[in-house]
Amino acid sequence: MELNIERFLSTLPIMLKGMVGIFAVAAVLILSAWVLSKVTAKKPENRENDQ
Amino acid sequence: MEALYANFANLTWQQVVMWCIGAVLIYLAIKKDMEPSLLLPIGFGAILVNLPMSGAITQPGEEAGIIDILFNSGIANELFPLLLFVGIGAMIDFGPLLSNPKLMLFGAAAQFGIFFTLSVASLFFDMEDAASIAIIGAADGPTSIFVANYFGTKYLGSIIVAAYSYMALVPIIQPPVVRLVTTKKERMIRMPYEQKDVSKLTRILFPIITTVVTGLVAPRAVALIGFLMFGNLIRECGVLNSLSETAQKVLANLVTLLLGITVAAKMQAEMFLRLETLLILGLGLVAFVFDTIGGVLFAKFLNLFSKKKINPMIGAAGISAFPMSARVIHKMGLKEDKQNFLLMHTIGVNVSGQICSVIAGGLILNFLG
Repeated sequence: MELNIERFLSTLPIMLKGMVGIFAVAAVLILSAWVLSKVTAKKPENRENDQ
Repeated sequence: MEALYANFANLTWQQVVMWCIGAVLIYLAIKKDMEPSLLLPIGFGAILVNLPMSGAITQPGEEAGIIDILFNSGIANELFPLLLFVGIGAMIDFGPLLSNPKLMLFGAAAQFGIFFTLSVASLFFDMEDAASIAIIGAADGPTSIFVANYFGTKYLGSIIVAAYSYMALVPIIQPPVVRLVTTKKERMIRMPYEQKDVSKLTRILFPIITTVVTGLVAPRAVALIGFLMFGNLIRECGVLNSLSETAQKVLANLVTLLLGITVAAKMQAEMFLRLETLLILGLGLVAFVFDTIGGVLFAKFLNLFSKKKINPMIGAAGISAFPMSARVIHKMGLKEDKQNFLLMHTIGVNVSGQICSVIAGGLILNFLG
């Protein structure tokens, strides 16, 4: 079994793009979750009414 | 009389070795309680397909064997992993993650092992096989099967056995790695949990938004993330409780049962007993170790800038093995300090690992598919 250095080097940009891609998607999902929590949060007076 | 023992002549030593491997998997499942729902069927299946002239698999010139029929109708077309994802999605509570969405960053960081292993595996294997092996680091059986099957790797059996074995070995693999990259002082950092209400609307919209966002970035992952989130939507919508229960129990159990024994189609001696199998097991371990290191080091990196210190151990829970990884890290925290309750943080990180591992799988399919 031979070590293929050329192929190894070609995967390094994939590693970089992959990690950037995951963090980018995670960032969008974090932002979405944050916006959702703000938009759908119960206002204090509603909470009192609920109680 | 000869008909009774004629088949003995067809027995090879490789098949006997596969019986032993099957027996070990059954032993680990029953005696050590290691992922029994999968390792037991896989172990039994390994024996089933390695009997000489086994009728369970297709023999030359004979009618199709049931294991091959199941493989072609359930794994080759990716049906079983996707159906299993509906059940898993219905089991997941994204509440801890939604109450602190930033935890998703750790799930992202903990996918480092996948891409690191892709690079290491590419030294020995062609790109499709390297990608299939790297996805063991997703710590997520259905994603591993989906991606490995998509690339049509001949190492599917070894990859699935490695993925499920290491998932079961999380309590053994993660603690020493976490200790290696953290100090005692860091492991003792307390993280108070602030309970926040998560509205029903947020819980309903989150799986839909996640599907759309992930689908736009990684279209090949739409089936995976879509079925996972579909299961979660059934759970959270509040009007399909019966379907949610069915997905969590009956569907997940039924698919797991068939999936395990069907994987054995790729555990025939001539396919499994190769030097490459040992290498794949080694690379699978590398993937798990570097996932763990990636999550922990990212938390340490954030600590350089944040006033509120994060216990870096929670980063290790960013792998997809749910809820095992969350519990392991929580117990490690308690071991260092009996008042250090990390569970809600680790659960949040762990469920984000579920999402991020699917995204990672989708990106790999995008880049190399």
